[in-house]
Amino acid sequence: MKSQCVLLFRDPEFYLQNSTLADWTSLVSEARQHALLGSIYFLLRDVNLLEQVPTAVLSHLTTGFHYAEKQKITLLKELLELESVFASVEFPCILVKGVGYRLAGLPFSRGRVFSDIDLLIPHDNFPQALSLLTDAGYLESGMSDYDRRYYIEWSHQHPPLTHFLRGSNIDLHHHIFPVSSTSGLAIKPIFENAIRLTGSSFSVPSTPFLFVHAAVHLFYQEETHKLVKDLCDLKQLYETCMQTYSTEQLFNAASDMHAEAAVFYALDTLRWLFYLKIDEDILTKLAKHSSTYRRWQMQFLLKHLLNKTTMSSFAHLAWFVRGHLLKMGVGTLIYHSMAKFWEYRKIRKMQSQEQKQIDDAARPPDAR
Amino acid sequence: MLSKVFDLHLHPFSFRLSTNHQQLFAQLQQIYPTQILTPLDANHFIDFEVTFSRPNFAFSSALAFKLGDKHFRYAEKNALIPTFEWGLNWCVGNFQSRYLCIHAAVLEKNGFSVVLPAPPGSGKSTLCAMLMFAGWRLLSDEHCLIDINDGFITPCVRPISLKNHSIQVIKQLYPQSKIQHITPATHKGTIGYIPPSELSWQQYQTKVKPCLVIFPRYRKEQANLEFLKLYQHQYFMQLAENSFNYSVLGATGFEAMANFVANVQAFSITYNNGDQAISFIEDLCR
Repeated sequence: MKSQCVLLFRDPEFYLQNSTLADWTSLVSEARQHALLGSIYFLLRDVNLLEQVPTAVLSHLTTGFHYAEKQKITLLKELLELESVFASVEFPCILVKGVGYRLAGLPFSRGRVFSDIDLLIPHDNFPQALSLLTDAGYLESGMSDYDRRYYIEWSHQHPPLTHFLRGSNIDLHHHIFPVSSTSGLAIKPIFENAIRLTGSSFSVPSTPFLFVHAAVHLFYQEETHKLVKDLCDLKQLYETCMQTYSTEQLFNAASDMHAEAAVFYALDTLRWLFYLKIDEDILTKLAKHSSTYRRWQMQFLLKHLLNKTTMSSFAHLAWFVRGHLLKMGVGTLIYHSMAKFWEYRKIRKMQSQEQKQIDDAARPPDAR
Repeated sequence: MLSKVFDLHLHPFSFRLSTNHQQLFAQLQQIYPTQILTPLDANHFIDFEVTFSRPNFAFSSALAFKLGDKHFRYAEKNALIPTFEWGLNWCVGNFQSRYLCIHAAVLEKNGFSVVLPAPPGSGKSTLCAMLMFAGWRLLSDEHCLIDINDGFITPCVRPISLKNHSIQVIKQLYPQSKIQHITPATHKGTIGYIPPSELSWQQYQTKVKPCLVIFPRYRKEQANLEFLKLYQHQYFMQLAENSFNYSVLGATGFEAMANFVANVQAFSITYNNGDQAISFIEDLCR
C-alpha cells in the first residue's frame, strides 16, 4: 500500500515505528492534498503519539491544527447567521457530511476543514428553503449554463450558493443521491432519525445514518481527488458509530434506506484497507444485496488508485466512468463527457484570464 | 517528456521539484549554491513537493506551478525563474503556520536585526540589497518568519528580487554585483535576482532575536531622511496587515505578534538616499 494516509490511519503506532523520511514526505504531501493534516494531528494527539513525530513533520500537522481551529470559529459564526434564516421554519433542516460530523460532536471531526455547509431539506420544502437563503444573500455564483443544467436536471442538489458578502458556501440538497439514477435509495429515514441540536433550528442524522450517507457517497462518487480523505473519514466514522450503536442498528439504517449494497462495499473496503474487524453476521446479511462484479471492480480500481501503480491513470478514468454510469446511465454519460471536455478547455482559458486580472491589479506603478 | 526531479534544501522548508523543463536545474544553479540545490535525496524529509511542468493534454506550452493538486499559476513566456520564485513564496505564505509570517525583509549585523515590512514599490528590496552589500547578513527578502515557540526570527535565505528601476539603481551603485535572470515584461515589470552573500548562506540556519522594525518609503523628492518613531499599537496593526497567516493562527498569532511587538522598537522612514537610510539604521544599532 502506497497511500501513506491509509497506512497511518490503519495503525498509527506501527506507522510511527516503521516509517522512513521518504514516507513522511509522502504522508505530508498526501495529507495536505486531502486536507487531512489537522485530522492526523488530533488522531496522534489522542493516543499520545505526537511527541514521537519528527519535528519537521509536526510543524505541518500543527499547521493543519491551526487551520481547523480557525475554521471551527468561521463555521460556528456562519451557522449562527443561518440560525436566524431558518428560525421560524416548520420543516426539518439537516446538516450532513462534514458539518454534520462536527455539529454531532464526533471527536474525529475536530481536525476537519470545510469548503461548504451541506444542508438537506425535504423535497417539498426545497423551494421555500432556497427562497429563504436567496433572501438572506446566498446567491448562485458564476457557473456555466451546462453546469447549472447538470445540477438542476440530474443531481440531487441546487447549484452551490455563495453569500454575497462573506463568501461562505452552501450546498442545498433534497436527496443524498442524484435524481437521475435508478438506485431507489430512500431519503425519508434520515429525516425520521435525525437528532435536533439543542436550541437550534438544525438537526443532524444519527451516527448510523451519517455512516450510510458516507458509504453511499463513497460507492457512487466519480471523483478520485478526495478518495483518501473519504476512506479515512469512513474508517473513523465506523469506529465512532460502533462506540454507541450496535451493528444491528447500522444494518437497520442501511436497510431502511435501501442502501445495503453500498454499506456492504464500504464495510468490505474498510476491512480490506484498514484491517478493521467487522461483524461477520452484518456482512453476510448485507452481501445478499451486493454484486460480486461491483465488489471486485471497486477493489481493483481502489488498489491501483491508492498504490499509484502504472495503471492508476486508467483507474482514474475507469472510476470516473463507473461513478457516472451508476449515477446517470450510458447516454447521459456520453453527453456529459463531451460537454466536460469543452468545459476543461474553457477552465484553462478562464484560469489564464483570472491570472491576468490579478496581475493587472498587482502591477507596480513603475512596471515597464 | 521525461520529468527531472531535484531538491532545494532551503531553511526552514525544503522543496522537491519535479519538472519536464530540461534547463530549469541549470538556470537555478545561477542563484542557488550546490549545497542547497541538489539531485533528489530520499534520505531527507521534504516539506513541499511541487511540480513545474507543462500539464498533460494542454494546448499551450506554458508550465504550471503546482503544489500537489493546488494550482498556483502558469509561467508567462520566458518568465521561468520569476514564476518559480513566486511559487516558492506562495508555498511559504499559504501552506505553513509553524511561523508567524510577515511580508518583510530581514537582515542582521553583529546580532542586531532589522525587519523591513513594506508594500511593493516602497523600496524594501533595494534597501535590503544595499544593506546586504554593506555587510549585513540576509535572512530573507520576502518572509519574516517569527517562531511561535521562542519569538526568534528564522531565516529563509533566498535571492533578493529586484524590480524595474531598482535594477538600474543597484547596477550603478554596485557595478560588481551580479544580477541574475533579468526578465523583462512580466506582470510586475522587469525582474532580476541578486544571489545572497556568502555570509548569508554560511549562516542560513542561524536564528536572530528581533530588535528593530523599519517601515521604509522611498520618495524621489525627499531632501533629507525623515523618521517617525511608532507606538506599539501602530506597528502591531501594520505588521498584522502585512502578515500572510496572522488570521489563521488565531490566539497563537495574536500572542506571537504581541510578544514580537513588545520586544522591538519601530520607525517609519522616508528617504531618497539609501546610504542615509543605512546610516540611520546602523546608528540605532549602536
